[in-house]
Amino acid sequence: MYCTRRQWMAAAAGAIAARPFRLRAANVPTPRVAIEKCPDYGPELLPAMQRLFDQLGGLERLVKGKTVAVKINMTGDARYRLGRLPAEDTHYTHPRVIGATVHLMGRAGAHRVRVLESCWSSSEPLEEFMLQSNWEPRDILNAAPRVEFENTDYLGRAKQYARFNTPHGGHMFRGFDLNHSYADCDVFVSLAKMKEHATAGVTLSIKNCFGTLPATIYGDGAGVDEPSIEPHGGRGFIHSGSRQPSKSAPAENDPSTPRDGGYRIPRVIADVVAARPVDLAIVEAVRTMAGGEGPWIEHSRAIRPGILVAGTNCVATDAVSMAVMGFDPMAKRGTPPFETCDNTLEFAEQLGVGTRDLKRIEVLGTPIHQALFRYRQA
Amino acid sequence: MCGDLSHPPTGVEVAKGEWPGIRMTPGEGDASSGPTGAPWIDSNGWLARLTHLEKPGKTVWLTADPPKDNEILPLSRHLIAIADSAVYGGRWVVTLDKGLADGLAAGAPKAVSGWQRMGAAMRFFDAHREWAGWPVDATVAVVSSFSGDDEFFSHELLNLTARTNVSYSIVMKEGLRPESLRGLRAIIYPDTAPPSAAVRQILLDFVARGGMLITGPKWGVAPGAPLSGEPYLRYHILGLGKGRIAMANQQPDDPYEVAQDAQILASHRYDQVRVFNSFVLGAYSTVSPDGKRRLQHLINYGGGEDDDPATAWIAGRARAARLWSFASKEAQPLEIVPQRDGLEVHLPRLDVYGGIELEG
Repeated sequence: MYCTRRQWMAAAAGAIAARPFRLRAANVPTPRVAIEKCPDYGPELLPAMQRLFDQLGGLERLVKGKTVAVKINMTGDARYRLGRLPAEDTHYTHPRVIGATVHLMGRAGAHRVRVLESCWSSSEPLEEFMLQSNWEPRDILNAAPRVEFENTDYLGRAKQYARFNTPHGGHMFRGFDLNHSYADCDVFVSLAKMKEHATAGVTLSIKNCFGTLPATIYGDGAGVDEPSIEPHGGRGFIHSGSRQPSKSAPAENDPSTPRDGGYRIPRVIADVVAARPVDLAIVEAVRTMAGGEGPWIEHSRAIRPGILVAGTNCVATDAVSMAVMGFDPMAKRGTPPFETCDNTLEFAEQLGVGTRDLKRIEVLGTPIHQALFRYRQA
Repeated sequence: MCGDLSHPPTGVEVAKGEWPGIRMTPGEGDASSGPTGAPWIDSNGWLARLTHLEKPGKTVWLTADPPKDNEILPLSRHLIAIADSAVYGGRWVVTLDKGLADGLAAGAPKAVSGWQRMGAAMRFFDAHREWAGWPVDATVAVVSSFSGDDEFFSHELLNLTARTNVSYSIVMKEGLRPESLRGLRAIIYPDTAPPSAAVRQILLDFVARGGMLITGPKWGVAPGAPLSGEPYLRYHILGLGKGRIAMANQQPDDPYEVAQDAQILASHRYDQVRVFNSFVLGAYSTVSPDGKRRLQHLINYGGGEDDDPATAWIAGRARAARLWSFASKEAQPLEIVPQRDGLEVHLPRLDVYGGIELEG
């Protein structure tokens, strides 16, 4: 059964008080994650995504009559490319995957679909960021009735930021102030690219939500007391712990914890998805890259796994995605892909977001062993 | 040798600018950054163009303070200065740094070779002197008096708009004629004095036909109805006829912000060029007088230090593309990768200059 954001918040308020900090995975219903092979972004894409969602019980029961917010991944400056390849073939969620997702949601009766991303260091409209990437935003706007875009790196259309509290106080932050778009929706979708990540080991549907943090509060140019008007720079201090967010937002729980990105980022992003739960996680790896999250990572390379993964639990979806990438979702720090960082999934699991134990996840569609694409060997 | 620059030859106008290139942080050897973190580029292109407009018929010589006695410039900085002048129709007043001057005096092979390369660069542009007469292929115009109280702001706006790679024309407010705005998508009117009735009418007619006017409250009361839509931090949008007026909420006092905002307000949909994998390539779009050929000038202000392979997206279609550079007397063919509303060409590493010529 699905519930609206408001219903979820009301239920969560009561549930959090009763739950122990470290929820045991056994308390969580068996999540289902679907895998589909999809060799390219041509005509085969839409049916593959339809099958993906059908295996999860169909989009209709999740989105019909609802406002759906879809957080895509367009990390970094639009002018970066891995060699000659367009960004969508390597580190950006492909616009055709976004368009197909939006189209299928419209077909499933979504009242409104809002496509969200925090554009790099800018308050420009998301459409403008897409145009700089050589995308045609109208393709997405016309994929369903009532499609909107919003750049969530700043206050945007609202008069104030929306406060999201982390269950159990969180690992690093007891709450976050985000653009209103993450509150003004009934269904929240993380539409991610399947990649490794220099700081977090992997970037999937959970890490994609790091980009919900507005740079006006969590960015290098954030105001000290109040959010800055304009976003500037990346979220470097969230990595380094060199300063705190704007004082208007919840501060770090314990500033004496290690100032190491490999310690901090996995905990922070686990807090983010606990505070702003993901209702549908989609991880795209038709074409993507190995070795890092963007072309600025040395020795990164383009790959074509031809895989789509989706689930209604982001931890389970990321666990299956990790397995598809050839990694163990139970891996500890010091082992691939977490050579220099902690395992985000472990911290999300501790907050009760979901399980990363493959034995507790029902995998539908293509079995993991048939979808396996070992990133480290690609 | 040019002699005394305060008394230039007849027919020459001397304009003093900055030494073109990436501005370096003193003592650290690192490139200075602009507010977005991108390297800060100095270019005199805007100055050459404005001087041509203000002093029609004159040859524009561009000069900058010579390097300090102990400053040794890489050869690329000299070549950039030559290209940065020639591309915009000016001529660089060659000024040697101490290392190059001493080396030449001593006949040092490296200095002699460098001097020969500078000469070759000047001969390259001289062989293509017709390019200097090719008009800019603009989508935006800056309309201003460029003088008096508006001199500093309008000059900085020209300078900083160039850094966004927005292709713009420079239009004098005085004597403005409607045909000066033909084919443009947007006009920036930055002046603090309201336009005359005649200028105002021409600009509003431009808007009514589908253009965008970007201005501030000093324009005066603007006609049109407020439009809802994408929020802009510093502007509200008024609809007038088929076009829009982007009215600043407060009279802008930062030309950098105006330049940044203008490219968004005018929309990247009308970009002439987008350069991927290079943050130091400056672009200048021109078209031949008969309209049959386009030339996209690219100057690598990093002097070849940016080694990532760059790709240029250029609006529109073309049958053939070729690349002019200092490396060869003949242009080299470029493969065209068709795109939806334009084309892409994959560029080799550009040491200093590349001219992408498109036919058809």
